[in-house]
Amino acid sequence: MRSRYDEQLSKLNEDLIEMGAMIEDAINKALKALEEQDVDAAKQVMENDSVIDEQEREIESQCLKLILIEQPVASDLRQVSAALKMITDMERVGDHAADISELCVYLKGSEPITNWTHMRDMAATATGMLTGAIDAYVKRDQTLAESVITRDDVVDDLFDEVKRDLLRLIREDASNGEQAIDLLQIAKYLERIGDHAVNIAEWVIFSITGMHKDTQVL
Amino acid sequence: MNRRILAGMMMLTVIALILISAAICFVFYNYFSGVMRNELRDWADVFRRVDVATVLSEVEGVDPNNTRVTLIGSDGVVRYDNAVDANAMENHADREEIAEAFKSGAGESRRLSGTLGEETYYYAVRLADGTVLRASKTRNSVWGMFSESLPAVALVVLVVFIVGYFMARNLTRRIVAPINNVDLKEETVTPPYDELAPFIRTIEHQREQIATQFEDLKKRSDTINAIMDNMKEGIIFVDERGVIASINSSAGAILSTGGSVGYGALREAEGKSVLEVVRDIDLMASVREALAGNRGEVMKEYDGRTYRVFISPVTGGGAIILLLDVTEKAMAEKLRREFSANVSHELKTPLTSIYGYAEMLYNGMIGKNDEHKLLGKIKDEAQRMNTLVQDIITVSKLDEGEGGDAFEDVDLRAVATEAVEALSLNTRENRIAVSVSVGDIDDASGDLDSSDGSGAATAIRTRADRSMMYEMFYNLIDNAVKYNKPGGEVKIDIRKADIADRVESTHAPVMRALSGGLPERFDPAGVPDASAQPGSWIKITVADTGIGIPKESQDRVFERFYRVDKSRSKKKGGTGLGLAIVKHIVLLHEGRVSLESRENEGTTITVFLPEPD
Repeated sequence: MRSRYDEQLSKLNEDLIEMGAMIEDAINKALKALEEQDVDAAKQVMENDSVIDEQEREIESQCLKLILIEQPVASDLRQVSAALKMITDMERVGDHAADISELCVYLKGSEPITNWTHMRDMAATATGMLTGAIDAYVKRDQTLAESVITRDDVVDDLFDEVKRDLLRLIREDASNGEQAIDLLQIAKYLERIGDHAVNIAEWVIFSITGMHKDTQVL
Repeated sequence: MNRRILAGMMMLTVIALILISAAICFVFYNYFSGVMRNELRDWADVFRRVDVATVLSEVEGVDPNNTRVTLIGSDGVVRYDNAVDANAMENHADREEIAEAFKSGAGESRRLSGTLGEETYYYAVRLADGTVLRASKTRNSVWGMFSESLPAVALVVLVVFIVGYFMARNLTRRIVAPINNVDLKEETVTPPYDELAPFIRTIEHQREQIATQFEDLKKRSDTINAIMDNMKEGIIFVDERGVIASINSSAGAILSTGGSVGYGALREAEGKSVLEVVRDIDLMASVREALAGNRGEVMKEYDGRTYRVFISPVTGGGAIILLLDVTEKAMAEKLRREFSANVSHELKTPLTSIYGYAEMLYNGMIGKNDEHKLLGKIKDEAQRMNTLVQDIITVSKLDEGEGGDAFEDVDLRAVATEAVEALSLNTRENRIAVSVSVGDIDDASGDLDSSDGSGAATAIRTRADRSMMYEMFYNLIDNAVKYNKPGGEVKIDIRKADIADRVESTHAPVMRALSGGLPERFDPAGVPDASAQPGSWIKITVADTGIGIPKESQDRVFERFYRVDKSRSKKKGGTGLGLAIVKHIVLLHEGRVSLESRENEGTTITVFLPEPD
């Protein structure tokens, strides 16, 4: 019985990593599509979102079954409950990737109004945080998870920069407005992805130490 | 062993005991029955001659338990019996011994009393008066004797069993001890018993066999490990669950620098799922396919390098992931693609113009006055195409590694002067002063000769392909003149350089400190100690006072078809291939080229060529 239980736990672990890989892939592809104005790739990311949702449901039911039938304790319980929380954030990241792809379809064909510098930095930092959070989960690395949390300020600052850039562009020429708003949304999504990465990292820390946001939960 | 020996002993003991007691019983029985018969006969024979009355008085006191005495009348009726009431007894005339006694005077018989394992011996004699006296004795039969001795036998067997148990244990121990003490690790094992010799020999033989097989296996696995660890390609073995069974150092290096997780230590990666180490859903999907038995292939980029990843199923479960670095190939392919795209584009532009002008002329839409002008344009465009095709041919030849076989002694100064002369028309048109100077190491300021280029004052010679050297100078000077300001200057300087910096790459970050003095960067590993080998390089500088190259373009001007300013370049008749050709030629001569430029001030291109000894 126990060996079956161990098997289930390790399958949960693998599925969670796979979901991490899926959202990483989705967000990277979405950003690549955005940069290369590749509508087909963007549409594919949007289609793939349902696969991510499916994976979320699958992991969710695995977690509930484990809790119900096996009644895990101690670190196992932490792992299962952390997984249950993490997938929500992961799924949101997948949604944001799809959202960005959607905007990418709108933006197609219009001459870019900005040189993307800050946006690119933001994308790199946000995806870096996401990768870091998943790496931290895979390697059970608390320090890595903590470094992800501190990096959130970088994304927030970059978001302000991007906002300022876009404001300036609108002020210079009101016709920039439409695209500027789309770009602002993309920036916001990236900022949100950073936040979700922080959430994931916090749950990773919880699964290692039982502490969530410096409070002993379990 | 213990039990076997004990059982054997017991079996032997029991059989022996039974046989012995049976034999003893038989012998003793025979002996005793003989003795008893004689006794009985002797006793009875005494009464043969006496009469009944005497006999009666005589046998009165005989103990019936010892000897039973019976008197039978001649009619067979029992007259007296000392054990039983005579009246109750039946007629005895037909009893075997009595019948015999009536007939011949004496008779005997023996009867088994069925139940008790007893036997009665009878002896009868006829007395003088015709009465028969019968005496009989009862005793155990053979079987009775034997069964009587059974408890004793059983006791003996028990004793033997107990004693035998300990003896067997002891014996077993004594037999086994030397066998246990045999050290099979010894070179030659001495068998403790001769009987064990073949057994020991077999073990020794097998031991040798195992050792050789082990050695073979180790050698084979060493070979495989050596191959795996020294191959450039990354190899990962995955078991049927998708867990990494083995990973070589190349794969580890590839994944640790570029992979998403970066397990530096290979041992750490082994035993983990592929997904955990590589975290890539495309690759994972292919691995799953392979585990289901289908080959797969994906292209992956790790750390800016391109890898072709083959995933093949392994018979018996599992899969092999092979990572091949195809960066160069992919780059070359990309370059080729770009090149052909560029070529077609570059060729199409003049062709479109020519076609357009020609069409206008053909349709007669052009007045007589303009006709000549258009024809001139057609000529110019055709000329441009010609130049372009010429350049493309040169580049392609250089690409293929053609040329360079015809290395000869070349006087660089003469070649440079020749190129200057070939370009003199352009030079004069743009009022540009071109000077060629040559110098020695210690002669930094040495303008030995100037632009007239007539004499052959100092020749600087090297081993090179002359036509290529011409091409190189032509392109460099052409550029320097083309992108100069009117009234500008072009200075060509050729000298042996006492220190030559090895500029890493022609178009990579450009060395900007080569205008005249010592290079800023000096790589002692790259070039042999320059002071010990003065003049091991020839340094050619072509400096102009032209428009210069903007900083962001400096890295790219050696690329094919790259032009800083497209419209200007076209006006000047540039193909965008000049510096690419120069770069190729220099590389073919194992030299280095670099550039330093400031916008609106001028450009200096420096070429280092190795000097022959």
